[in-house]
Amino acid sequence: MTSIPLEYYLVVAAVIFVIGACGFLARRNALIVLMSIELMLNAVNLTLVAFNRWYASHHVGQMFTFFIIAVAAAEAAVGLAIVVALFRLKRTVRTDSVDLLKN
Amino acid sequence: MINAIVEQGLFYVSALLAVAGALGTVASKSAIRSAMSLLATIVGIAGLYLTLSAQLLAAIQILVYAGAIVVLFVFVIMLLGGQVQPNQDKRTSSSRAIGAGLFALSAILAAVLVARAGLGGPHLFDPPRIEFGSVSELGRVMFTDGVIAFELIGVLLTTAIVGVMAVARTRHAKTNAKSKEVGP
Repeated sequence: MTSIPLEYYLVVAAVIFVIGACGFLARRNALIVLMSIELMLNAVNLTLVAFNRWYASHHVGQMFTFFIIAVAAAEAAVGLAIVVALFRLKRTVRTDSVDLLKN
Repeated sequence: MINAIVEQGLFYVSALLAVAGALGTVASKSAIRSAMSLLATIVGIAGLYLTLSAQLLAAIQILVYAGAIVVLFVFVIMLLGGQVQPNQDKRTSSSRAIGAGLFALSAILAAVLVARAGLGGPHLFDPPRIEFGSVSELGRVMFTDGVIAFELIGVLLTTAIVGVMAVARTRHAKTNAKSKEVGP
């Protein structure tokens, strides 16, 4: 399992991260914004695992990825709860129609 | 030789699945299609973990992301109704053009910086130790070096569960009564 260079993984991770960042900035559906955050977290995880495979004498990168997955699960749960509460209040999940703190 | 071909095939299929899924997640009109594309991305990244000999993380990726997070997304989409909402974008074409221009500028800047960094030739991995990425090795690290973070993650998840229940529950007794009346 040594025929793919490290750079390929980093490029794939960078592409996924940029796609996720564009989705986070450009989309107006709160659910898709949350999914874009998950994409970015996954890209970072891939980078960490690839670098840990490069420095294979320890497992710190994989351990860090494990914790990031746990934090991402908590983040998704809280974010979706906020979306549900928002939908109860405004009957929409569009982020540009949420202006409770304006005015 | 045959190993290298299998590995490259797994890498390219997984990478293609992950990138195509990411594009689908961001570009889909309906949220349910985005969720399914996110699932494709997650499966692709799990395949990439396998080529990096992180077997435990590949399994956890499938369990936690595909099994819990995507299902949570699908549940919320089901609760809120998966209808495609009409496009009510209020952004003007000039602000869109400025955004696209800034994005292109930063992309070119990043490409130039990476090209100037002088990273040298392709970095091929050494063959891993046989126990690299195994459950016992990762578990040993997690319960020695990372034990404080491990315990804190437990606290965080408990807090998140309580917070989710506090945020998402119904506060109005009236709506509860109404929904009971409507039921069959």
